[in-house]
Amino acid sequence: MIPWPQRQTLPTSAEALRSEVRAFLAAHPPAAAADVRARSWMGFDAAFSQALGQRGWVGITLPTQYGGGGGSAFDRYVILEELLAAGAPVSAHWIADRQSAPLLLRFGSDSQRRELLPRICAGELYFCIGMSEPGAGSDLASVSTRAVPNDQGWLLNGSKLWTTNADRCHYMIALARTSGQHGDRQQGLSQLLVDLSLPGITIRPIRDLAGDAHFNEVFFDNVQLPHDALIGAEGDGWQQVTAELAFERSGPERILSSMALLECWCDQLRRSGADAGDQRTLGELASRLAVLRSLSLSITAQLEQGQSPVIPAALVKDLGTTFEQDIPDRLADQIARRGGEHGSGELMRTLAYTSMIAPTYSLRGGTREILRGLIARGMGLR
Amino acid sequence: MSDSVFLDSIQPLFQDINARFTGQSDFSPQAAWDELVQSGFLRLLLPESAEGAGLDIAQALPVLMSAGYWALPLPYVETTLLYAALPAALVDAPADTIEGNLALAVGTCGPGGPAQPLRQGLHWLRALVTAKDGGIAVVPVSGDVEQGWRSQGEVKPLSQELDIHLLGTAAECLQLAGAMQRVLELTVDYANTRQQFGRPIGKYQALQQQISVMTGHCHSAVMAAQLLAAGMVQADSGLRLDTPRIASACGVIKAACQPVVATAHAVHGAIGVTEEYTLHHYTRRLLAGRIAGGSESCWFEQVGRACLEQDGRVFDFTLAALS
Repeated sequence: MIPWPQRQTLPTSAEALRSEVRAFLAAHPPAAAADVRARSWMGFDAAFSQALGQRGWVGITLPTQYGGGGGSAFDRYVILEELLAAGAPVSAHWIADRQSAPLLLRFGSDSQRRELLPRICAGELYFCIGMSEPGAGSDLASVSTRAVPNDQGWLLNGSKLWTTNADRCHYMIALARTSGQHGDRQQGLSQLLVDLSLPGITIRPIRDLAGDAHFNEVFFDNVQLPHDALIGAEGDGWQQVTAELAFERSGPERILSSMALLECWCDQLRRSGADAGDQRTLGELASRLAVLRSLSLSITAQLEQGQSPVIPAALVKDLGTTFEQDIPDRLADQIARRGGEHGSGELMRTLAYTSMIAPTYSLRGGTREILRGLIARGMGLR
Repeated sequence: MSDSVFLDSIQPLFQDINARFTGQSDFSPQAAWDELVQSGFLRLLLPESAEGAGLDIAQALPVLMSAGYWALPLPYVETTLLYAALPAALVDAPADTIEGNLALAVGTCGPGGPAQPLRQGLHWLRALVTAKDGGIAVVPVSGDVEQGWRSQGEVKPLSQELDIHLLGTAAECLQLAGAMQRVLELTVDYANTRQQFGRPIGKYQALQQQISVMTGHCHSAVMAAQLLAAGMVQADSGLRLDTPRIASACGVIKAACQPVVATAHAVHGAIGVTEEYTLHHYTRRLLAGRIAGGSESCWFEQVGRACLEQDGRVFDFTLAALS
């Protein structure tokens, strides 16, 4: 059985950060239009990331010796939820802050940490995730990108797919086969630091159904990596990736993706009046948000204690992404309930964007069906 | 932790009452109630100066939810919470007016007429606390679960104010969350035990995915119960009820009841609808509890109205009023 969740309130020191973050956001206001703010997590704005880094809010949990803030996971939680609730453009530094930096801190060499972490914390150095491939989506262990050791380091060949922001990032952390054969599954995989400016790398953008091009296909054609591109130990890639995914699955970004739409709709209700059906839908969504946020904070408490709550995090991600997907579903029904569209242009544009992108919520970071398999394992069924 | 000491101490009695009740062998509600009174646990939330254990609601929560986990057919949680909520009216009242009636629930009744507890299926009850003439009152009742309850004797108005309907629904929802914990455990146990096609049915992905969804509902309900407890703040004069927080938690717990019941029965198959297997006690409890005091929509509407009455964002309302 998965342990029952324990409510965790934010420490006073973390809660105190909230007003500081709001003051920062007042000085660096996100876009006014809700349909732009709805892209928060996809919004790439290097100037915003650098301003955030200067404020000390990128890499806030990293040790100060590497330029980090030396803060707690709860400090980070407050900063993230305020940024996301405001629809701030956080995409540039997001992956580096959330998972690449903690990964490098835990498994990287001292020179990797000293060279990369301070620049990440400054909000200047951006990372992307090199996990998925054309033949390896949910079945990550079947990656076929290969790095062969040679006298200069590692020779990388293969490709990665669905790589968010690869065209605008400096580094990818790629999962590649470094020993053994293709069928060896979790054995013989390693994580490698790939400087995306190296010769032999081709990045091709992929337009999505909302008309945006945030993800990419990345090809490696005899890319020569140095010896110290290896992160951690050769052959430990699978364990490292698993640990990395725990960071990826339970944060506020798994709850707040549709908030710009919900806020825009609530504003309209205040202007034009709400009936019982509107009140019910609004109350349900707010109530679920409160419970989800408490569940998410209970995972943060476990991360703060140094645990790796992979399965509880999967449970929160499943619930959170279901909530994020239910928002455009319920609101489409409510807004058009009286026949025809009853929303402002801004509300309808935000609804259209959020509805179109919502299916991805339960794909990114591990599909819903894979996560439910993890939950079943946690319940002792597998 | 001190609260687990309390749980460990009372759980054997809860379990024993459950065994007698579900075993259908000469279950005596009065005898079971007397044992609960003697345990002292009705005073769990009262200060030590009033011979209580001095716990706050959050500390007492494992015990209160455990009453639902063991499907107690008695108004234990209701009485305990009413005692804490109305100490001046109930605890300090003259012994002859209240003490004999100490098996309380929230409900409605007219003079001389049928009395209707908010919670269905209570096997023992001596008085209802009702809303009356803008205030609240204690109404002695007689009857039983089969015949129903009727008011009887003198109605005693109470001087304290309390949203009795909110408290009654909250008491019900804490127990529903505990009941869902038990139903999830029963379901996982059964899925791991029952074999078909040569292996436990829990090995099949179709059931794994359903049980994973059910786990999510149950975890949400358990977290909501903790938020609900945080919405009941103890003061010298009794309990201060934080309406949006409690309403929102009750809505989430009630919304979980139907899907949890559905999956539990889907996994259990035919054995789940037999009288001898314990699941039906919980099915009845969860389905009745979901609508007792108003369904999830009724409570979500209240939350939505409270949100719209404010100027700020939904996010800010959620942090300030519901979390």
